[in-house]
Amino acid sequence: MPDAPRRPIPTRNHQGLLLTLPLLAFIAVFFAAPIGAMLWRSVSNPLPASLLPQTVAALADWDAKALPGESAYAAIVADLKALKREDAAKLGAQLNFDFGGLNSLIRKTAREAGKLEAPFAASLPAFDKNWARQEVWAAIKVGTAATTAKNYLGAVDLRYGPDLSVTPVGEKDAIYLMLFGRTAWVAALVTLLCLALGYPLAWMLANAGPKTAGVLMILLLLPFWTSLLVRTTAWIALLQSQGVVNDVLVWLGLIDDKNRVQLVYNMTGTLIAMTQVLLPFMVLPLYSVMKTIPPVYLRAASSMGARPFTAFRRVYLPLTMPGVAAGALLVFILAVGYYITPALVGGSSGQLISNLIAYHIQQSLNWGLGAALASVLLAAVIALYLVFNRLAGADRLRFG
Amino acid sequence: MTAPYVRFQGVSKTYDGGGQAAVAGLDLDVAAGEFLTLLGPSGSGKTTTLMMLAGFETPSKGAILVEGEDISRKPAHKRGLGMVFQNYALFPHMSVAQNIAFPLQVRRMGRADIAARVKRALAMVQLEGYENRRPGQLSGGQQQRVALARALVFEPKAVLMDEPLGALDKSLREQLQYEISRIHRDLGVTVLYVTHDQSEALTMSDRIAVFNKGKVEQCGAPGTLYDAPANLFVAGFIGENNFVNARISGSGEGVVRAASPAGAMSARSAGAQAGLAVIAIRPERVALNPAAAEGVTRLEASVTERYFAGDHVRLVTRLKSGEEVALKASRLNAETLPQPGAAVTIGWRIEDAQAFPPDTTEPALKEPAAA
Repeated sequence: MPDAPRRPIPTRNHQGLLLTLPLLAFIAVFFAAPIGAMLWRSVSNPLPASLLPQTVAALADWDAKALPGESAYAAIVADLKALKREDAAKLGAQLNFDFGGLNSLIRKTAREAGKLEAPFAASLPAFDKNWARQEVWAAIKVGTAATTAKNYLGAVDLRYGPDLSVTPVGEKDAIYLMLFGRTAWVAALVTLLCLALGYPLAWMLANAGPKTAGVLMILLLLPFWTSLLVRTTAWIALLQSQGVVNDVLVWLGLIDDKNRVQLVYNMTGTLIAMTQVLLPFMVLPLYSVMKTIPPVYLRAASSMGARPFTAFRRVYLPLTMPGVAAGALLVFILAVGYYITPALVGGSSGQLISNLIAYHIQQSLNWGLGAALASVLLAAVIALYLVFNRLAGADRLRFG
Repeated sequence: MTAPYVRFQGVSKTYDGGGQAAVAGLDLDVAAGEFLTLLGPSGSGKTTTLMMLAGFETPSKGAILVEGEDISRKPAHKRGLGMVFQNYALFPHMSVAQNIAFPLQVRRMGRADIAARVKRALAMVQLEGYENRRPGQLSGGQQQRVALARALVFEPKAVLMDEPLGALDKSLREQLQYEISRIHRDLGVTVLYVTHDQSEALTMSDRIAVFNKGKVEQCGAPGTLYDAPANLFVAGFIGENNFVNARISGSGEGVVRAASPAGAMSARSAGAQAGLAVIAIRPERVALNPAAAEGVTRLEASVTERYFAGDHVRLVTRLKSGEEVALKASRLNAETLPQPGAAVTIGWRIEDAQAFPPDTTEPALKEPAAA
């Protein structure tokens, strides 16, 4: 008979909740708020609009079918004339993300704006012929919108064309979709490698005697406790062309000294190092599930005539699925956002989307695009989790 | 008896690290269709014996023959023996029907055939309508029925049961005992049944092999074991027994006369010839205030305890030697039964008591005080 539904144990829950308040505050300040700010940053671009108020107004009704009228030319000259030098530099840097060359055009025009004379629709293109290009005006309109979808378009290799319609970016600029794809592919490969290597290891851990299991567990966790940076650097020492692995291969005569294998600064290096780093995240959930499976199930299966492989496939594997699913989800999500390892050992062919996000945040300073890329990544991970939840039921997962 | 279906031939099992053998030189025959129980205290080797037959342990020495073929090195999945485990071992991720279908699927039986056999197996254990339940949704008794159906559905010639009722409560255990007996009768399947519960063994078995310290002490029908135990261990392990230490004063014609501070007594000889003996007498065979007659032992005693036990009254008496003898008194005239403290005479007929040579390995039995 099934037990009667259990009543929740009456405790003074509110007091317990109070104890979690510091953590909630911490999460709100250092986790939720930055994510919110990032999401906001990806659609909001207030600076150019505030620096070019008259231009924004004059371009409000522009349909981008032809060059704008005299009012727009007059507005931008007036705006630029009013700009301080450092504001012009900021504006140029911002608008340059939307159209290469706008930086110098804006700064140059801002310097000389006082000398220009009406009608500006004639004098401005005469000063610099770029002012007669419709795509320059389109870029200014896009770049001065206070809220914009341009970063998300950029994140999926699209942009606003000269007529403000959404068009694909040029072939050599289209790198983000490829990088998202590569990231998903690498994450999937690392997940598979971790599963293939981790499953037997978890089985050994769960079935070995307590002494052996203890040693194995320490061997598994020891690298886990050392700094990620140290481990990744160690992989460089091991894998580089004058490194330990290549030396051994040469010494064994398996490869020629002149044809050392390129194991690092490419995709191979990224795969090897990430698999090693993420292995414990696969093994621990698997181990915790396997630990609960009594060996009598396998005995029962073989007493009924199942060969060892059949017993494994029909009985053991299905029983470990909650661990497989949890480990795979954990490793995949961690791998999708992996940054340090590919940055150090990935070379250019082993770079992942997170490295590009870091590039836009730290070097190109196109924070809007970086934020949009990160948001797309976050959305993809959440979508993956939801699909997974629907298929496997996250409440049945065992994370360790 | 026909040629044995299963034969253990000098089978021994020692584990790495040495120590005492779990099973030592076992010889045992099991006839086809027989219900044989391996009975013994924990650690006596009965489960190891069963596991060697099932293929989960390999004998260190000797051979296990099934229908004349040595199977002791054959992998478990090729032996074709059904097995029921103590904790059911039902696959939690499969429904009842899928569990029962499992041995048929690994035998690559047709879909329709499997469905029909699963249905029949469920009917056999009276669980029709439970096909789609998960094991976790069943009670312990129901789970063990499913395990039974699963072990029998592929029609193995023998079914091995490792304390299958050990996890169930008493009434359920008794109910399933009868059910297993009925299935055994109906199918004519050979059953090897491991238990430490002697009443279970007595109820169900054709024969019982009593294990102790890796050896079979006695193998025989329940009645034989109960009425004519071969040695002190079996006498103490099967049913309840009183033991009185005495020194033999004379013997002849299978009868032993002995004496101790409790008085003079006589019993059938069960191996005791001279010197020390242990007289074993079952509580239901002890008479209260027996009339003096030829061959009747009469001993003075005092009642120390009196228990109401439902269908009888249990009296515990103390002999003059200090040894206690329990007896079961009929409730027909309960009001006349003595109260604690009363002096009584207890006794038995020769044929109701047995004189065993003392078991030198049992430290509990000691020399009676000088007679």
